[in-house]
Amino acid sequence: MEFLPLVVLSGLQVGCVYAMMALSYFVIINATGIVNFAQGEWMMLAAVFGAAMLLAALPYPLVFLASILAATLISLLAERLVIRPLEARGADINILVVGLLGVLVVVRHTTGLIFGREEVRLPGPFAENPLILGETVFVLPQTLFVFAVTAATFIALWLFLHRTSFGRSFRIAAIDPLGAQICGVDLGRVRFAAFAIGGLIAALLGWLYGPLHAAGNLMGEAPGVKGFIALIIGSLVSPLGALVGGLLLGLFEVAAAFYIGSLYSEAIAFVMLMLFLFVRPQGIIPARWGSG
Amino acid sequence: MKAAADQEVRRLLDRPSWPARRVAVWAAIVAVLLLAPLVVTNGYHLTLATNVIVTMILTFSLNFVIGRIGLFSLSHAAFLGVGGYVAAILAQRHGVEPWLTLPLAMAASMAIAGLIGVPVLRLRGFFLAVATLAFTLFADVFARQATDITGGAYGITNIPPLTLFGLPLRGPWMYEVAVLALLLSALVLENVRLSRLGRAILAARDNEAAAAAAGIDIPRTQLAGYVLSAAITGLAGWVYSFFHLTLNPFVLSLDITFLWLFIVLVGGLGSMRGAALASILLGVGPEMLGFAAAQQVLTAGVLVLLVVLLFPRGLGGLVEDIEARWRRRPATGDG
Amino acid sequence: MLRRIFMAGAAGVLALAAGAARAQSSEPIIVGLTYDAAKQASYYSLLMRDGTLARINEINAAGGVLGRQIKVLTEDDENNPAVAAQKVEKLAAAGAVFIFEVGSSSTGLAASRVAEELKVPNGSSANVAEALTNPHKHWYFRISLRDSIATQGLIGFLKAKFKEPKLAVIRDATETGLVVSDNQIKFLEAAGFKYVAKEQISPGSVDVTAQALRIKAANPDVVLVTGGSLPDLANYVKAHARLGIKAPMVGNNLFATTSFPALAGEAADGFMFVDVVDTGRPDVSEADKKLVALHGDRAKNSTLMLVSYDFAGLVVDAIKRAGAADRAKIRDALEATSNYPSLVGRKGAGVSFSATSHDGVNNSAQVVIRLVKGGQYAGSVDY
Repeated sequence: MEFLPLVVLSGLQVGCVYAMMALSYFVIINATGIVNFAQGEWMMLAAVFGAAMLLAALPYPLVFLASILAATLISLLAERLVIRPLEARGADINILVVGLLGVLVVVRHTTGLIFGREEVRLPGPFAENPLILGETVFVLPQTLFVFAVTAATFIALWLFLHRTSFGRSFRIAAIDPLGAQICGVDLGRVRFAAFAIGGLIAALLGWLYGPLHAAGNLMGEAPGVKGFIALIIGSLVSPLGALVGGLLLGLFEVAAAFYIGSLYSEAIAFVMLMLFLFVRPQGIIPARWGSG
Repeated sequence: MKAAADQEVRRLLDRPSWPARRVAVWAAIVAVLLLAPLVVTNGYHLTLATNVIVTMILTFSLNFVIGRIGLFSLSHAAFLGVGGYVAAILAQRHGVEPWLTLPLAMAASMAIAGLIGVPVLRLRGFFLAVATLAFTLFADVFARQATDITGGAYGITNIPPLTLFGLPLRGPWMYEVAVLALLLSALVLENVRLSRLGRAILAARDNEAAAAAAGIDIPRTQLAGYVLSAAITGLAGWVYSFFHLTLNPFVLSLDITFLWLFIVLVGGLGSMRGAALASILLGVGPEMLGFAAAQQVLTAGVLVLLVVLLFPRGLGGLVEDIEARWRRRPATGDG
Repeated sequence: MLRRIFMAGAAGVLALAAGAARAQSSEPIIVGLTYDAAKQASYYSLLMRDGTLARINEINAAGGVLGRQIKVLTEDDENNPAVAAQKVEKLAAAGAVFIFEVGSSSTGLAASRVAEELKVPNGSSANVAEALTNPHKHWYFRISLRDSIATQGLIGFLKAKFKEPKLAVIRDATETGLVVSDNQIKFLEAAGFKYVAKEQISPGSVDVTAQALRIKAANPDVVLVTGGSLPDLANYVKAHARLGIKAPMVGNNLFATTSFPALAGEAADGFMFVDVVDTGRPDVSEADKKLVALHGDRAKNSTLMLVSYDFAGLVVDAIKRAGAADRAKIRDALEATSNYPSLVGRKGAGVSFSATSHDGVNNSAQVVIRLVKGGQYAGSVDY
């Protein structure tokens, strides 16, 4: 019982990472219907650029901003070079998905060639000294950073979708693309913005997850898969779904490892996921609560 | 007038027969495949070809599920694994005659597909994809950790080879076995496509409401198609086990699932020819591009991007366009 | 007159013979190398490829072997057993007289099976799977610290240092983590040790708090840290320190890489791990210096680079003893290797093969227990 706060903090931390990943998928799926499996790679790029620049002894704040910017730009490059030409030719959604899978492979392995195969430490913005909150409770500064950035990102996105006119056109484009076009919404701009925002969220995540793990070219794989699963659990129609799905998945994983034992918790998690989908395929958040 | 109309209706209702030209083309391909070892003596090239053929069997069946039935299923690695492991375990650990493990392997794959198919096929789109993905991930963890059953991370080694009249089937002989398996799969899938079941599946894919109204039992139809594709995948797993004589959880990894997905999507959905071409391109392409030998995975990714950007309807679409232009007829989009 | 013709003729014949011999000796001896260039095993694989190539280049610079240069053909096995098997065939068809397998054990199992069929000598310096030499393979040789020997060494160390410690194990779910820890558990339990906790980390995990808390609650005397994913295991080491778990940690033999001290930081102080190379030995530290000069910091104290450098030397020595670039002769020469002055082992007993054993490391007393201190590899622990 004494360890419960630590378990909860751990579950929330894991959950926030999944939630951010899920949100980055959500923004693009919602605005364009495309599942961009390469989202994890933007996260990886921010972390790897960051680690490389820190090794070159550049100042931390500059490295932080520059790496996030660079990763977001590459996300936009993918949109311009791969998605736009395909959309213009009326390609099937499945071709778009496989095109992005191709981007994933190229980005991941080119980075491996240039940066090398070593997994290097990415220091977080704060020192690693734990903050003591009680006799058996402590929290790491990075954990608080994760919570803060996650909360800020979700709030910022909500404000964007509900309080700005461009954000509203985003939501309309999601619900009814044809109707939106009739109303004068430029779907191309919406798509571009979606990749920019999704890329930015993934890049930010690089500085949340990177310090908790390591920066290396294969780092996008695990969170990428988990983030997608989290989105499906939560629901595909609302950012709240990404948040709830991520947090639940994180808490469940950690609780299962702690209470049942970690030898089988991974297998159990997958079985639970399948059962959950059989019972409630539409996700946890009812559609009515969504952005619509 | 009425006679002509009657004839027209009868033509549409009758099961379409195979035009003579098509049969000739198939016969030529079959002959080339079967006789290849007489010309290709380099063992390495035959091994490469056999690997491509096993991949092709798998992608034909995956193409059938995703393209024809319209279900974005990512669990075929698990069906391949089940077929392969059942064959390997029975042959290596329990001394079952390798040829006998074939029906058992296929039955096992079909049983698993039937079991998870019932709940899974009620889902659609992303949900189906994630549920089937979760199953494959579970199968991967199971294969790696249930060491007593599956041999753990190293899998089953020293699988006894297939034998014919005392001769162990290796090299070119195993190539022939793979080719026969491929032909069998292609034949079965083609026949299903043209059969009543195939047309029902297509109808369900294109317009569920109309199909249901026409009296098609959609869940059962889709389940039948799903289980059939699992049978073919089980066959691929069986060939894999006896070709490599070792089987480990690698076939259940996410990397391989995505590679097969690549191939099917690059091939263009629903197109068996596309799947065949894409299997060859991605199986042999990086190998052939000599300079890229050190970066084969990267080369595969680049190839995928190039194909997708140049041929938005996939390789199958490209073949259709070429064919249509050759015959000066519009493509039907259903190759 | 006749004498002059005879002399000219003899000179001509000699010139022709010399020319032919030169033509013969200018043809390189071909060896193959399969490795993982870009997938999960590539970090380790590339270290071994570089170690092998470093030795071959050194030998070539000194004139090669049998008067010929050695040419290494490298092939990416993509960490895929099917591809590994394919590449072995390709290398065999290209005329390789020996194939180095420096990928993971899974690919090694597939590759060595094909090499056995094709009768090509092959081997590895770091693949630890027992099944590679059991059942015995006629054409396969290795100097790796295989699982059974590593575990016997660990048992000796634990008994000497800790009497009857209660054990906990934390492993990652990579191939290495699962297989090595499964074998460890089997042998250790058979030797009478008790496990109070068994925990697992999924590679790429965000957090290992739950696992660390369970280990703390179980109160072990020694924690075995096993696996192949350094960031995940380093996370455990950090959590272990943060939670104030007093038990010392002992790792498996993949910890000798520069990333580990960097990732785990101060928490790795006092971390011990099982290895097969004693950097205190003068011949080992000399080789280490050479490799660092070539490849920089990543080669520092890298077991994988050292053993692959060593193994390449052993194989070339066998080619020399075989007297010809002939597969069967090289195989026989390898089998006849006796007390080769290898870099592996605690006391440097020299590596020998025989008709019944193609494993170079057969004695658990050869196992080295290395120590990490102050962010560095600080030599080995005596036991």
